[in-house]
Order: sequence, then structure tokens, then C-alpha cells
Amino acid sequence: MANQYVVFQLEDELYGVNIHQVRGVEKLLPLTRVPNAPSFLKGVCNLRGSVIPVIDLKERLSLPYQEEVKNAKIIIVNVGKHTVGMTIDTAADVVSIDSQEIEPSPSLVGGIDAEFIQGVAKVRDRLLILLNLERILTVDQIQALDSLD
Amino acid sequence: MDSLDIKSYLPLFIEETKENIQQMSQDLLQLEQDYEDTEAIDNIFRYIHTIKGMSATMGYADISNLTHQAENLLDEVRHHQAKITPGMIDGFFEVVDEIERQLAVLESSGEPGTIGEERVRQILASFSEEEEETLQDQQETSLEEHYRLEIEFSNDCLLKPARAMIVCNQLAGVCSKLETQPPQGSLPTLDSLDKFLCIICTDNPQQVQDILAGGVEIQGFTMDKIQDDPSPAKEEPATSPPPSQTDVVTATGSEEDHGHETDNKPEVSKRVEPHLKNLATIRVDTEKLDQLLNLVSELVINKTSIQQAAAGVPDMADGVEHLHRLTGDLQNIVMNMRMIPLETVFQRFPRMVRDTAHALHKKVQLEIQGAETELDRTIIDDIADPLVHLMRNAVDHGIESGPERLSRGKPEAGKIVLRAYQTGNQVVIEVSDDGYGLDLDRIRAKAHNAGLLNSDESEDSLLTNFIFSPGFTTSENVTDISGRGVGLDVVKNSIESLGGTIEVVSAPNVGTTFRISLPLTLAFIQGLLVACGSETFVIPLSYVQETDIIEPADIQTVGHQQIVMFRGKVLPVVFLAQLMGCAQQTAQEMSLVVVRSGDREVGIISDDLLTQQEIVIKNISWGQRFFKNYLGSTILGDGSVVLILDVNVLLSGVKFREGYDG
Amino acid sequence: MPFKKRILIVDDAAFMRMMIRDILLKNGFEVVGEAANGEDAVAKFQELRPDLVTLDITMPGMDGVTVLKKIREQDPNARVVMCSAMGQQAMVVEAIQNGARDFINKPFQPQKVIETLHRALQ
Repeated sequence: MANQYVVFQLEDELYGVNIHQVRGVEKLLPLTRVPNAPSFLKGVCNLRGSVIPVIDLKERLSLPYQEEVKNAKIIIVNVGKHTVGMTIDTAADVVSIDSQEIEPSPSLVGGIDAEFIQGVAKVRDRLLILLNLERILTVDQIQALDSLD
Repeated sequence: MDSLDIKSYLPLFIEETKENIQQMSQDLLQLEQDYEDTEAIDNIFRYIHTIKGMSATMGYADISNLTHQAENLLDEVRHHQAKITPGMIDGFFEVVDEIERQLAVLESSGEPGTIGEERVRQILASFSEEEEETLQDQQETSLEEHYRLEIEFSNDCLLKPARAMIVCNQLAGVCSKLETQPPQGSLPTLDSLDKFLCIICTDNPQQVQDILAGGVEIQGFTMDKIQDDPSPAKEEPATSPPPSQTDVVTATGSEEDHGHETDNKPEVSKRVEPHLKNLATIRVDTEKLDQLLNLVSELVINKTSIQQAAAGVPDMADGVEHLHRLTGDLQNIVMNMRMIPLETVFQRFPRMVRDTAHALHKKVQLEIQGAETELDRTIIDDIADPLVHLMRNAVDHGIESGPERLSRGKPEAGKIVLRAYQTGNQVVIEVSDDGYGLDLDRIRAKAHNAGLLNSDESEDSLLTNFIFSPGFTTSENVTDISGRGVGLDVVKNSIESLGGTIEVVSAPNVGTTFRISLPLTLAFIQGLLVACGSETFVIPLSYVQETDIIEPADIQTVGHQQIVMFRGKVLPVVFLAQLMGCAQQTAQEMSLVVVRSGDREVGIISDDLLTQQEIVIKNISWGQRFFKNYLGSTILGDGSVVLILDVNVLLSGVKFREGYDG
Repeated sequence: MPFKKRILIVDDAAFMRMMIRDILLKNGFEVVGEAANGEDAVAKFQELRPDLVTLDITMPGMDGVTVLKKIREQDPNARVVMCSAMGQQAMVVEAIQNGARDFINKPFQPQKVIETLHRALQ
């Protein structure tokens, strides 16, 4: 069974997200900072009248990065009833991948925690890391700052 | 008709069946109080008959067969060939549950489910059950005892509800009674299950233990015998305080329905009459309604920016004024469409209270007042859970057992009053019970042990607030049967996330009242925009008492708290820059906004007051925990997003001493 | 115990039947027959009268719940344990309501399978 994935780039690696979960890709919209939120929550933005939180995907995945990327984009995804934006370097393509071609990921791929990865696949000789959005967007360990002390 | 036609009637079938089921439940509750109530019997017959007809037309054989059986039975009663028994009432409730389950299947899949033969047999069996044994009877029969089981399924158990069903089947062979939470009838519809609670009656506890101990996918369980005596009596004060301050059952100037007496009422649960206005109504797709509401909110934002832009232009004044009035009217009408009577939430409660009371072998009546009070559609869904929890608590912890109540000179049946009314721009919902009342000594001791209390802070009103702390419970055995292990702290958080407040009032041996206040309209509020560094925040105007300009010299420090003297009183202050981590720009003239919630006041210091304007609240669904300090966000006329401060959270984070006088 | 319990295995996948068979044989059960579809299952049940049937819930043609009903028609005391893959709660629930003794989830854990069968045979 083949599924389509939206492929994008973070630093030098390619990542993919199931197309059913993707609402769109936007240029980086102006963000309003959310005080006292963890640093990977970059802020909230106005997406055609809805207020969407935007997270820094590289930071959420604990990827080291050098500098701000010019022309970075936001990929807008749906998980459950939530809509969230994630910053990406560039958006590339939509590819079709057969479920047979997906292999479970080795425990450490590209420095990312295995729980964020659904699997890996080879696309045109490059490694594509398929992301587990549900895990990425579940932040149970992180304690928000409860009071404004 | 071919199948295509049938499908188009499905939504109507579902809606009508739901209405019939709802009415049937109400009449069943009536019938339960008075087995001779011929009107109720006739009504129930009618509802079942209607459902039978509709389901047969739709081709849903299982539902029509089941209702046919129930109808037959009722017919025998109508012709005096059979009498109503407790088993029958239970049986009819099972029929109600099963039909609800079938409706759920239809709603989600469009196809009918099946009602297995075993299930039908099970339901019909309850019709012919003997009289329910009271606890007194229990002692006279063999060595049957009541036990309470709490079963935890292992983490890798994938289909917990199905596993629970198996456990029920296994226990049924050993127990003469088995009541569960969640109820057995509902298990097929659940997606998951946290804890599974059972109240059983058996004369072979060893076998029950064996079944559970050897149970596949059962991680652990507890089994406790339920004593006939209730939990140890609380200490009573020397004189009972007069009931007036806690008697919230007397109606004072609120919308009352049908003028019932509040005291000395015979034991009949008051039926809630839905307040149906006799106007022509149409059915509207809720999606369309949401779209309309969104458009109107956009319009309001737009109007505000036009207003601001046109501020200095005299020619535009009339047009803008007109626009303002038009959008105001539109806003009102749309807000009215958003308001739904609380009836829709309350209607489930009589049945729920009955079931909970039954499971705990208590007698409890529920009285509902003010169900026609309306609440915003967006919060009405979220208010149900906290209310359910409060009422379950009231039945579980608040109300004493029958024998104990009698020994205290109270009527055997406990009473819970659920009351809603509107006052100003708030809706108030109260849940009152006439049970134990809060045990202040226990609370004080617990709080002291937990280090939450200084010995000199023992004012009652402060004490009662401790019950809202996480993990705080003064009951010996936590008999929470909601199956989810939530506490009053979760209730409080839920209420506050809706922009409301909750307080509690209690008197020993008289009862306890929880009072919830909710803002009437959520989507539009008036807000004060304040600047902090280069950022902007909104403070909801409803909390703002006053504003002023202050200088650094006005600020003093007392203990760890900064204060200013404002109108001769000490006012604790906070710097928005500090709270928000922004860089404060003004060193000299600063803006002071005095906010107040309940009896707490705080001054918020920011760089500047920008404007006061209409604010449309935009919710952010993901990441609630990161936005706990905010009511939500809004979009200004220029498209920028601004966060709205939740003043309650702000106030709770500020520590200050009460009653300090300069 | 003197006599081994006699089990009938029903599953459309030969691989699954083999796996269950191995688990059962290694743990003191006797496998008296296998069936790969509903009709065969009902026929073999009648012929062999096993002590217990393991029954796959999703099979082409006659599905597991239908087979369960037919078997119970023949013998209301028949012990049947359903085998289901993840995410088939509705069918499992339906099976339980139609008299299934218990259920096992795929992928199988031998330990759980044995425990469940022992329980179901009591």
C-alpha cells in the first residue's frame, strides 16, 4: 500500500510527514512570542484568521544547528483536532512510498530520538526519515511554568 | 424503499430516537418513585412503540425486536397482567442504554450494529429479577457479602473494555449482584478504560479472588468488603449552626420553574420540564452556524480598525457610528444563537445520580432548578464533566448512608440540588448536598501535615479552599467511582480555563455547596491593551478596577512583595515586564492597572496603556499547558496576534498578605 | 492431567495456524484439527467436537462472529476463544456478546495464549 509523504529539509537531512496530516506550507509568518513557554515554542501566528502555535522543529528534535535559515518556511500540520506549525528549512516534494519500503529506524538516526521516528525509507538514493508527529507534538515531560512567580 | 432512501432519513431517525429515549428516561425515573403512575407507564409505552416503529421502517431488526419485547412487557402491565418491579425498571433502563449504544454505532458508522443474543437474554433476564435485596435482607440470607473491586488491567492490554466484559462474564457466575463503573451496558462503546470498578455480592470471595488473581491481562486488583456501617461518624459541633447561610435551596429572585416548595418535599425527583419556546424553529447545520459566528467576529475586528482609522475624519463619523450599531446588533443576535439552555447538559444527571446512588446503596434525590438558564455553546460542553464530578462526589462523599441519616434526624434519602441562574453578566451553577458538610478539622490537620498551612492561618474560608489542592483528600478510602481518579483540583482548573471561578460553602452536618460562576459570553470581551517593551498584551476589562500613572518612587517593598499605596490601601503590584520576560522601557511614568477577582486585588505595572477595545477571543487548541497564563489570544486590526492575560492565574501566583495596613 | 485437551484451530493464514499449533503442542495440548475458512470450521467442529476452538475474527467469506454463532448453535456450551489483530474492538465486543469465552490479541505472546486457554477451559 502506498502513502504519500511531504518531504522537507532540515540542515542536510530529508524528513517526511504523511500527507494526510499536512495542511499546507507557508512562508515564515510574523510570530508573537509566548512568554514563559519552552524555547522550542517559537510563538503563535495568524493563519488566515486562526491563531496557530509554531514550534521550532529542529529544536524540538534536538538537532544542532548553525544559524537562522533565510527563507525558512512553516509546515502546518494537523494532529487529532490540533493544528500546529513547525519551522522547516525548505519544502521539497511530495513522494509516494510503499509501506513495504519503510524500515524501522535504527535507534539513532541523524541524532534524533527514535521515538520521534516512524521509520526510514530510501528515496532516489537518499535517506528519508519519516516523522512520528503524534510523539513530536506530545510534550508530557515538559513542565510549563505554572505560576508567574 | 431501497437502501439509498433509508440512509437519508438516518439523521432524523437518530434525533427523534434520542428525544424519545430522553423522555423515556425521565418517565422511568418518575415511575421508579411511584409504580402506580399510569401516566408514566402510558408515556413510556408510547416512546417504546414509536422507536419500534421507526426502527422497523429503517430496517433495524435488532432494535425493533428489542423494543418489541419491551413493549409487550409494558402492555401486560397496562392490562394489569403484570406489575412493575425494581427489576423491570432496571430492565427498561438497560433497554435505554442498549438503544443509546445502537445510536452511537449508527452515528459513527451509518450502519446498524447488532444486539447479540446473549445481550438480549441478559436484558430480558433483568426484567424478571426478584426484588432487589436491601442491605438488611443481605444479613438474613446466606453468607453473601458486598465487596468492592478495583481492577487494573496491564499496560499491554490492548482492548481493555473487551477484557472488562470478559471479567464481568467470569464474575457473573459467582456473584449474585454485579454493578460496575463504567456500567456494563456502556463497555461496548468505550474506546479505553482506566480503572474498572465493581460492586459485587457473593458468598464465595475466594473464588472471586482466584478469578482475578489468575486473570489474563489483569495487572492488579483490590478487593474490599463493604461494611454495613458507613464510614466513621464525624465529630459534630456542640450546636448546629443555623442553616440559613448554606440553605441555597430557597429561591430568592432567580428564575424558578413551576413554583415547587423547597422544604418538606415528598420523595419525588423533580422532573425537568424543557422550556421550549413556542416559536417556529429550523434545524441548522452547526458547521454553518460556526462559520457565521466566525464571520461576525472577523467583522467586529474589522469594524474596530475602521473605527480607529476614521477617528479623525469628521465625514466618516456618521457612517462609522451606523456601522458600529449594525455590528453591535449582529453581534447580539449571533451571540443569542450561541446560547444554549443548560437543560441539555442537565438532562443526563437524574439518571446518573440514580445509578451512582444505586451502586453505593444510598438513596439520593436530585432536584434541578433553572435548567432553562442559557450558556455559551463553546463552554457548555466543557461544563458537563466538572458538574458530573461534583455530583458524584456529593453522592459518594457528601451524603451519608440511609441509616446514618436517620440516626441524625435527617430524611433517609439524601438530597442534591443543582441550581443555575443568571446574575449580571455571569451564570452561576450551584451543586448543593444536605450531607456531612466539610470536616474543617480534618482539612486543617491535613493541610498542616502537608505543610500548606501556617498555624495562624485558620480562617474557615481559607481552609475550605484547600480541598482544591491537587491530591488533597480527607476521606479514609478514596471511593472515587468516576473511574478516572480526577480530583477537585482538576474541576477547578477546568472551570478556570473557561474563565470562571469556583468556591465552596459548607456547614457541618448541614451540607456543602459548590458555587461555579461563568462569564456569559466568551467570544467577545472588552479588553485593555497594554504595552510591555515592544510587546502588547490584553487585560480583560471585566477584571479592571482602575488605572493610573505611577512613578518608581511610589513603589515600596514589604517583605518580599512590592506594593503601592492606592487610595489609602495597600495594593500589591507586579511588573508585567518581569512576569513576561520583556524589557521594560519606561523608567519614569509607568502605567498601573488595578485588577480584581473575588476579593483579591493586584496592580499590574506596564509601560503604557494603549487602547480599550472590543476583543474577539481566539482559542489555541494545542499546547494548553503552555498557555495556562492566558485566556486565549486575539487578532488585532493589523493582523497581529496578541495574548490575553488570565487574571485569575496572575492573581493566584502573587503571594501577598491580607489585611496589612501601612 | 490424564487426557490432553483437544483444540480446533481456525485461521485463514497457514502461517498463523502453524504458530498456534506449535505453541499448543509445546504446552500440553492436543491439536485435533485445523480449518482455513468458516464452512470448514463448522463442519470440523461437528465432526471432531473439540474441547475448545481458537477462532480468527477476520476471515474472508464467513467472518469470525458468524462462525462463532453457528458453532454455538450446534453446541451452546462450546468454548471459543477469538483471535484478533489490534483495532478490532467492535468485533471482539460483538463476539463476547455472542458467547465467546475470551480473546487473544495478535501478535501472540505464547504465555498469554496458554493462560487464556487454561482459563477458558475451566
